Amino acid sequence: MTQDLFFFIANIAPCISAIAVVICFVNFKTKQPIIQLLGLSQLLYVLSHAASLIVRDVFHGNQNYVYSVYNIIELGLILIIFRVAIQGLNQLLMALVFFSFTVFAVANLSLIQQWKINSYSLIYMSIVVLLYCIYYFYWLITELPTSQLQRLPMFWVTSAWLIFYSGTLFLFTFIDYLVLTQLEKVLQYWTLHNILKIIEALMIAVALWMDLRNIKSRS
Amino acid sequence: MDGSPEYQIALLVGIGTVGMLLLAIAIISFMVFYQKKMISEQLKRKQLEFDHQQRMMQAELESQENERRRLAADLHDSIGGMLSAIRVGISTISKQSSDPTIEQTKQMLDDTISSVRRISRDLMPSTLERFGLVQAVQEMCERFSSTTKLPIHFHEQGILNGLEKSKELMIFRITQELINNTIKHSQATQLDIYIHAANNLIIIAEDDGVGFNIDEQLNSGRKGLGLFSIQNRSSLLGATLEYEKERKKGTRVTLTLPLNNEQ
Repeated sequence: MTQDLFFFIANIAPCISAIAVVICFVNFKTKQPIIQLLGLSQLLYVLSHAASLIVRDVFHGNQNYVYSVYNIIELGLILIIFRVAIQGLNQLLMALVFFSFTVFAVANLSLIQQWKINSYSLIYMSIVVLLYCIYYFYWLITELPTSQLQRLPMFWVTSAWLIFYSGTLFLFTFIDYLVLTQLEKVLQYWTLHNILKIIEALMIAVALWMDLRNIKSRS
Repeated sequence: MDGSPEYQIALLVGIGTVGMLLLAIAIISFMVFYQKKMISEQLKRKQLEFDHQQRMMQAELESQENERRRLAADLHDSIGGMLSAIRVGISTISKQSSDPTIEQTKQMLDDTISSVRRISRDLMPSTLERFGLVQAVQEMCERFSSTTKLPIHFHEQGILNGLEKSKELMIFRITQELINNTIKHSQATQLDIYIHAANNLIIIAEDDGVGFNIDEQLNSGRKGLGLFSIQNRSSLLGATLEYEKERKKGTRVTLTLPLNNEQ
């Protein structure tokens, strides 16, 4: 795994997300709230990726600070999307989860892991998102809001997050150890993260396409 | 190498990642299949409920027809018979007496006998059982035409064979109800009844009256028993019933029954 190949793979997901952002923001006001929030989430990802490149190449700084802040805002957006998608979701619990994550992430960034990959925050975030994804699927089974599940954009979005965060959970758990003991192979391991990010971006693109299809069939 | 901690960690990460991915895919697959199964169960349940309702309606209509048959038989045999016997007695008395009251009584008795026969025929037309649907409808048109003074023209095309008696009776009742509705509500000056038998049995009732809006009738909540009974019977027959909309004048109702395996 060369550095060039690694960065090439790392940049694919942001490119797909950029296309998704354009699709979301066309006729933005007419889109469902979930799609609007998804658009914001993808925009945030693209901007954070661009910011991290600027920090690395222009300021020769540590990208982890950018990603740590990105993760806090990203979790907030994910929770709001779930709040909109699932009727009757406990808002207080959601607020508590987000507040506790924010406090933990800030403490982790400033005191515990600091400039290193904030894997503890990533593990926390992964577990929270996985639990909400499973809860959303449970809600889908019990409520049966539609007969055609594959035409529901939120089904694709939740599947994307489920695959990404479940696939990277073990990586986040052991990344600290891998950086200490197998630094030369970290790029290979992190490529798994980038590939799963590409799969996530593609599935979110499918969700947006389903939304466009639904709008077309309604009109 | 194989026993080194780095290798073991790498293996753990690999197996853990693959395991978690498989679990995620299993959850998604379960979701999709379970949801399809739930939807299919719901559809089956709705179909069962619909079938049950259809059977209940069928049983109710059969019970109605049996009751009508019984009443018609009683009217014709019992009351009709007694009235005929009374008429014979009054005829004999009228020959022996020239009292004008007896003639009046004889006339009233004749009217009563006609009414009883008419009611008996309306309840259960014997023509339907003996000669079939087409003859029965033709006879009904002629009878209504003469009693109500509304010209009812009967048109026939094709030959209708082998239709089940129960279906013939239901179609007869629908046609009877359509004619009744025209007489009661349409203010028409004429009514045409068409029977066309080929691949489908098509019955059309067309008048030149004031017409009506079927959607308004159905949505108003004032749907009369007549319309309700027509729709029920059509549904049980598996026939389609169309009310021609946007018609300038009058009403045209078309009943279409597929005759796939009947003939």
